Amino acid sequence: MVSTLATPSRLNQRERQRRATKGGGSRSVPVPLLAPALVAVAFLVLPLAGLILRAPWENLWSILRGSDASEALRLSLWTSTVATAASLVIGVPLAWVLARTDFPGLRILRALVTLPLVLPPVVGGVALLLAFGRNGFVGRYLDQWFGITIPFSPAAVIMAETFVAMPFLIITVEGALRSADLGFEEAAATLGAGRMTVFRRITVPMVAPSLGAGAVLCWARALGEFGATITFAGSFPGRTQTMPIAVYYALETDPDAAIVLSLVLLLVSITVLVTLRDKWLRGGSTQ
Amino acid sequence: MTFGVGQGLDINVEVVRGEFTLRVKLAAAPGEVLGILGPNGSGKSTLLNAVAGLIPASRGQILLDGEVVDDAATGKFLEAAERPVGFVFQNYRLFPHMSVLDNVAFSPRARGISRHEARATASRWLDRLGLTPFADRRPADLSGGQAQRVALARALAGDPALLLLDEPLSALDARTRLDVQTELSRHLSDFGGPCLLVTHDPLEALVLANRLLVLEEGSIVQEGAPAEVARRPATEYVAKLVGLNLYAGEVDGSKVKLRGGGAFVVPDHGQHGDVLVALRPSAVVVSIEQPHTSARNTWPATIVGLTLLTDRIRIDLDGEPSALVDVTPSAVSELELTSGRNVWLTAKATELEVYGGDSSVGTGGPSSPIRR
Repeated sequence: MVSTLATPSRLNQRERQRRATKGGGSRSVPVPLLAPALVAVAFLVLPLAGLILRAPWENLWSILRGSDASEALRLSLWTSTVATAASLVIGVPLAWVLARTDFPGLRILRALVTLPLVLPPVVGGVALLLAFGRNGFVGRYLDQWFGITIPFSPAAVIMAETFVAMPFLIITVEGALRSADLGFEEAAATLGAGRMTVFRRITVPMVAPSLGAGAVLCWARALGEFGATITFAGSFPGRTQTMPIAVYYALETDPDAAIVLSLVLLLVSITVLVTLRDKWLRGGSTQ
Repeated sequence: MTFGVGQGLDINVEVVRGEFTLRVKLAAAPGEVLGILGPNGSGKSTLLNAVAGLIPASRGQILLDGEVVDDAATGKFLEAAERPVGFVFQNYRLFPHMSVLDNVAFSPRARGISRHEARATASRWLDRLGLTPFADRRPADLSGGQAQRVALARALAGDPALLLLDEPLSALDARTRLDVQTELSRHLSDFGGPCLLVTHDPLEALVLANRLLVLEEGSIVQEGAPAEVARRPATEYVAKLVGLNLYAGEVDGSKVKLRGGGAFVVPDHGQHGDVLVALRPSAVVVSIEQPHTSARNTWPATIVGLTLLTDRIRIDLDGEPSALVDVTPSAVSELELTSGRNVWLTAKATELEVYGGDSSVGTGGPSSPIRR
C-alpha cells in the first residue's frame, strides 16, 4: 500500500509557540460544532443586545427617578440584603450540621433543604402562604396571639426571597466544609479549642472565600426573585413590589420603564459575575 | 519556663481501624523522649492520635500523670481539647489565615487566657525559639525550618504535660533537617514532660530519643536504648533502618576525637566542637594485613559476629571505634572472616558524614556514643 501524506496546512509562529509551550495539539473547531455554538451565542447574547439597543438612553435618569422605579429598586436592594443576612445567620449553621454531623435522616434533610433549588418559586410562594398566611397553620397563631400578619408585607418579601435563595448559600458552604482539610480542626482541638472555638476561629475563616461566593450568589438570587414573592407578598408599590415585579407590571403600562429597570438588574448581574469570577469562571477550578 | 512534672504516660491499648489493629503497651517517664520508629502504615500516627484523643481506644486505657484519659471498658474519654497535650503534626498544620504570633497564641487563648496574656506568652515562646522576626508573617511565607519551629512553639505555648511529635523533620530538605534536628534535641531536653517522637528516620530517632520503640504492623517488635536497638536489630526492617555506624565526638579541623575511644580523620571544613559522625557499613573495607593505602582512617578490630542480610553479610567488629561492616558473601569466604579474627578496617575520610558541628548535640542528643 502506498501511503500519501495530506497537504500540509500553514502553522504560524504564534500557534507553533503556543502548542510547544502548552501542548494539546490542534485547537481548530470542527464545523458541525462551530455552527450550533454560534447559534447558542446568538440566542444568549442577542436579547441582551436588544435590551441595550432599545433603551431610552436620553430619558434614562428621569424614568429611573420618577414613578415606582426607584422605590422598587430600593425595596429590592434592602430586602435581598436582609434575606442574605438571614440566610447567613441560619443557613451557615445548617450547612455545618449537614457537612459535619451524622444522624438518621440526614440525607433526607439535605434533600429537603435543597428542594427550593429545583422547586418552581411560585410553588414556594403558595407553600409559604399556606404556612404563614392569615389562615396558615403557623400564621393563624401569629395573628391570634401576637397580632402579626406576614403576607403582603416587606417581611413576606424577605421570607419569600430567603426561602428561594438560602439553599444556594447552604450548598456552596456545605461543599466547602466537606472539602476543607480537617487536619487544621484536629490541630486546633489538640491546642485546647472547643467545638465552637474551632468553628469560629478555624472553620469559618478557612471557608471564607466560599462563604463570600455563596452569599453573593444568594443575594443575586434574592434580588431576582419573582414567583414566590408575588404569590406570598403580592405587588404593592413601595411595600412589596420588588424590581422584577415592577418590571413585569411596567411592561404593560410603560415599556420604557420596564427596559430601564431591566438594564439596572442587568448591571447588577454583571457586577455579581465580576465579583465571582475567581470562584466560578475559572473553568471549574475551585479555591 | 517550668512544666508540671507528673507520673508520665501509661498506655495499654488496642485501636481497631477497619482491618488494622494497633496493640501497644508502653510507658514514658517525665522528661523522657520515647522514639517510635516504624515503616509507613505501622500505626505510629494512630498511636499519637489515640494519645491526643483524636481517635478513641477500642480496648484498654491511657493514663496521663495518673489520670485516666481514655478507658474503653468504662467508656471514660477526655476529648482532645481537654487533654494537656502538645502535638507537632507531620506537615505542621499551621493555621494559614493567622500570623505566626496568633498561631502560637492560639493554645493559651483557647485554654481561657486573655488575648493580651496569650500574646505575651506567644511572644516569649517566639523569642525563645528565635522566631521573633517572623511574628507577623503568615505560615505560607516561612521556610520549612521556620515553620517547624513555629509548630513546636505553638505546641509548647499551651503548657502541655505531654509532647507528641509526628515525623517533625520529614517535611524538611536534608540540609535543613540536620540544623533543625540539632536545635530540636535541645528543646526536647528542656521539656519536663514525657515526649513521644514518631519517625521513620533512624538517624532522627537515634539523635533525639532516649529510648526507642519499634512498631511494625501495629505491634511493638523491639524496645530499648537507641544504641541497643542499633546494635542488635530484632527484625530486617530495623537492621536496614539502622544500617549505619554513628559516633559522637569532638571535631577540631580535620580530626574527630570519638567519645567512645578512637579517632577519625575527616574532610576539613574548619569545624570545632561536638559533632556526630555517620559511617555506612558498606563504606568500610576489611583486610587481613595492615593496608598501605591513601585512605587516612585505618584501625585494627576483632570480629565478634557475622549476620547474613539479604544480599550481604554484616560483620560486627570490636575496636576503637567499633563498627558494623558490610561485605559480600564471597569476601567472607575468600578472606576467611570468622568470629574472633583480628582484621584491619579502612574508611576514606570522604565517606565520613560529619554534621551538627555548632553546639548542642552533646547536651540534647546522645551524651554517650551511640556505638561503643
